[in-house]
Amino acid sequence: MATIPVSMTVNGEPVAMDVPEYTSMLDFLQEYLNLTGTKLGCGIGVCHACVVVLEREDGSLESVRTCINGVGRFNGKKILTVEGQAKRSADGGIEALSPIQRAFLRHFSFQCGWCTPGFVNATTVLLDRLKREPVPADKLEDTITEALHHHICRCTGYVRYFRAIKEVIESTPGLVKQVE
Amino acid sequence: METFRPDRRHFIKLCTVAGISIFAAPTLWQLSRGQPVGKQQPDWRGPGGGPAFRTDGIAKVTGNKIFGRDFRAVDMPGWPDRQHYAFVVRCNRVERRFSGFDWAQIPTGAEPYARVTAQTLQQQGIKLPEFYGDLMLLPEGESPRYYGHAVAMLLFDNFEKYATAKQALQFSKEFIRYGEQTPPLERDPYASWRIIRVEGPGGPTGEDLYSPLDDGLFFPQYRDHKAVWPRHADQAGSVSERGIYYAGQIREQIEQESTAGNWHLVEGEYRTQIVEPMMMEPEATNGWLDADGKTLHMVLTSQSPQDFQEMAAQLVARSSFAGKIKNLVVHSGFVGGGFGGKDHSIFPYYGLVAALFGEAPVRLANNRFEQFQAGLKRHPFHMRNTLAVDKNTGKFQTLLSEMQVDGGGRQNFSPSVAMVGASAIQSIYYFPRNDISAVANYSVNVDSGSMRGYGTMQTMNAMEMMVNRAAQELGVDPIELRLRNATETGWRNTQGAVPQVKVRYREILERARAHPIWAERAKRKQAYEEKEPGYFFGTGFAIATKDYGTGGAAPSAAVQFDENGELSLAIGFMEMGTGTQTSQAFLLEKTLGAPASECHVAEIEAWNALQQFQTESPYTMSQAHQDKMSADPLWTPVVAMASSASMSSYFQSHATEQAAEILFHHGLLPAARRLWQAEEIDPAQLQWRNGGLHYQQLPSLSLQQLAREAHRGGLVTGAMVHAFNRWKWAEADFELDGENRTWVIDGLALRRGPRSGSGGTGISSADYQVIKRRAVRYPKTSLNNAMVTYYAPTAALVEVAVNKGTGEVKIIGLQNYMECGRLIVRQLVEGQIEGGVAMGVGHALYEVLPPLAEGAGNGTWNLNRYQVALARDVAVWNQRHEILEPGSETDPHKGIAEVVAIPIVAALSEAICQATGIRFNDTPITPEILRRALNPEV
Repeated sequence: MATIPVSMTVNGEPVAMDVPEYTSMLDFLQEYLNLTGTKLGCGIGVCHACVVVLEREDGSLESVRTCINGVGRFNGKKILTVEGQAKRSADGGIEALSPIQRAFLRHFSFQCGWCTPGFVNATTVLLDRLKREPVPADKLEDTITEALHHHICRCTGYVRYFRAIKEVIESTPGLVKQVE
Repeated sequence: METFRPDRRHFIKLCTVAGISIFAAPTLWQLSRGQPVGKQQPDWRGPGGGPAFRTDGIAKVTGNKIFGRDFRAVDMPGWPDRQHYAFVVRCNRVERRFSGFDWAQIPTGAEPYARVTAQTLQQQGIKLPEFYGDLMLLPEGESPRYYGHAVAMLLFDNFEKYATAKQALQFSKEFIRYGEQTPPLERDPYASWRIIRVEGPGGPTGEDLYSPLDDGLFFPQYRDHKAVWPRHADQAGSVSERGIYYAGQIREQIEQESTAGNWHLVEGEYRTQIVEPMMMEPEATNGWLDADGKTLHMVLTSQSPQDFQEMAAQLVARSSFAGKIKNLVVHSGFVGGGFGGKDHSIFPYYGLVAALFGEAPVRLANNRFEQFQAGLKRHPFHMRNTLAVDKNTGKFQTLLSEMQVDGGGRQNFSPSVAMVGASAIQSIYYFPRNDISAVANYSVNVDSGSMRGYGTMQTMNAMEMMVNRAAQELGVDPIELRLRNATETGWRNTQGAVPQVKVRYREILERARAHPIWAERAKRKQAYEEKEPGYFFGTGFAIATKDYGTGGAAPSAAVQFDENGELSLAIGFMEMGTGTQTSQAFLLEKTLGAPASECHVAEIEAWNALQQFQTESPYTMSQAHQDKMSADPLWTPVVAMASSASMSSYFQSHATEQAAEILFHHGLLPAARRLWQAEEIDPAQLQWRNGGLHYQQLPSLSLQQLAREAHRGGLVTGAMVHAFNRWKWAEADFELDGENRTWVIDGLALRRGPRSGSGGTGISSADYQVIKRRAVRYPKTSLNNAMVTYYAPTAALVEVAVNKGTGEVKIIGLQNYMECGRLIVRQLVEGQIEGGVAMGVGHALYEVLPPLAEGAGNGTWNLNRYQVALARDVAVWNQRHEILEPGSETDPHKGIAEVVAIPIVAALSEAICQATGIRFNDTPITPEILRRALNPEV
């Protein structure tokens, strides 16, 4: 089996190793880095449970499905997985949750929690986008739906995720433009 | 040398089955880094006194390892770090004999180190537990019994080989070889049921002329693999002869009254589809046979690990591994969704076999294609129904239903799903007479199990579709027709049993009738269609009342406090995502003044203190056996039960509340008497307010003060109970502290004073002493014929726009009504409703697996072809729901996890009919089906 060298930054930590060339990013995270917070849902890029945050060169964020993308696509890149979303202490304990993590908790957005990492990461990307491109208030619900509607949740029916996202966006200055 | 040491800090012994000691490992998430799960956080309380978030929430939102699928060998304490991998090879056809493998298809360098086949299993004496049938792996020369039948398991010593081989083999048409064609296999049905009832002269509350509850059940013979019911009728004869007599009377009356023009008949065939549970976490196991320690470790993703423990031990004990394995350790994590698909699934047994033949820990993990191919499904029903309605009064007169249920290739829960579907079709309505039969059949489809709804999603929606049609044909408002026929508290159901809950259907119906979506539906339709000429607009309503319970519920709970008044709770139930851990912790507040600081779910070890044992099946035991065994104060009909979502809020809550009340009565109350120096206290005047216990004008006492006094004085500081419910609760008399008292439980153990110092922080059997009951009164065994008597209703009002060209249905507005008794945590109930709606929308409009060769068993299905409801499909911004206030402070906490998914299905079907004029009897009504119906010429 031919291997390729990969190196990247995952949750702020540099990672470098040789892996078989057709390894998916999801398998790389789970089987080589033992980061299992990124979840397998469908394995074919439909359910979006497996998305991670990719930092582009200009500093903007992109959500990328790890089940249908090979590890090579992430070579030299900076990646944030759900494990890296909260601020942690040196021993791995959680010191502070991100605003979207807190909002999902407060709204009881999830039940089983399998789809939660995907929602956390995709919403992080949406917030980043709205910082650069604020959305008119009357388009906010459509914007959230458009950004998150591919994510499959089987327990709580999306309502509590979407409400939490709306609340975070509305309470974060600069993400929404008031309609005249 | 034996390296396995059953240190109770790591492994807790449960019992010995067939000479194998079974241990439960402390729940997996305790291995996880980060915040502990189950221990409340400092900011746990939210505004209004409820929880601010789920107790498992932080772990889930931060990606901790908490699910069974997350754990690799390296994560497991005491395991070797090396991780091996297994892959199950499955057939995608059934009409030819399996004739071996083309091993050359395996890529060079990716060869498995072990190939497990039927021959291997036979050599080692490995057989599936009886519940699952036979042929775990199909032997060479046999034809597959069903699509997806497993033929081999391959074991690999690293991930690279496993991934490479699986990539090459999973969809290969060459790897499995097939030989000559064989005729289709035929088998007798798995089970048959018939529910005949005729009301007596006393009406709905009087004695019946005939009913399963009063007369018992009778069964058919099987000829040519078809159910043939007895034919001989005799009003004074046996149970079957009397049943056939009344069935004949029912049909004669329908014929006469409809011919005379008195009754209107709604007759039709109603079909439901095969549905995939599509829980987000595909099934997985990790297993390690520690040969030196003679110990088999299994990590599961199961909803029913208790049943696995026992059946797995028996599997091992019957095999050649019997002498090599003395201990079985079962590790369970949080379940990443189940919906019944992980309840008694066959999957963990393949994982067990992988572990037996592995040379290191072996991980077996379905990808989504495999989960579709081999995971349990929702049963498709084919019903022939007749609803007879009196034309003058609009009162329902008779219900006839013949149901054929496709159970797939293995029996699993098909018998009981057919029975529950049949007994639930009446929904909220009263019928003076009924003849309902259901036959659960074998087929070559993937087997179906206990998926959410358990038969009622299928049958109650058919009933609602019939009621909507009857309303249209009789020219009566659909909600008015329902009001005329809604059953009342105390009226008998189709089995002749009287439901044990107060019925509030009329209240729900009246509220829906007054809602603008319903009251203004004509105006709204006109306005929408004028504005959007490319769409049809329609409004639909449906209601359902889901039974919950199994007729053999056996919850356990233990509550204790430390010297600082910190409450700990242990319950037998798993956390499957519904928030059981959070809601049960909060239940204590009413009785003990505070929620539990810690809640241990899926507790197993603690119950050893109760010392209980069971004998025969609670469903089939005789009254004489029950009477005889009841004399033993440690006997119970069922020691432990499987977890399912609808069971926790009512059944587990009962045990939790009983434990809390006993702890209050024998711990806190005597402590309060001492501190207040008051001999006589009227418990009715005691009240918890602002964290203090108040009584008349006396100074209030904090839980900490009371707890300290209870510990100091050797009073009761922990109460552990076991309860049993067979559609009624068992109750027992106990003598405690010189007082005779009856509690609604059948087993009790108490902790007095400080803990015994057994180590650990949880609830431990070592601290508790069993209190033998003086007498017990169990519900009579004849109540097994009642089938179901607990119900929780939900109604859905929905308005849709149907695209005239594409047939796509868009939900414009949605109003739900829920009556769940006393709710425990509002946010959890609301989340359940919203999740149920999404699943119901999927069942109604999108989700379908074809049968046979095109179906899931062929291994090519995944979410690219199987469409579930997405956010845009469920009116995510326009959903509203109303939860009725409880009727009284003593209303039960009702089980709702299943009912919430049901009425939206028939409501959507009716809304589509009102929009387009086309009435569908079958589900789903996909955009393609609707497009063809609307545009037959295209």
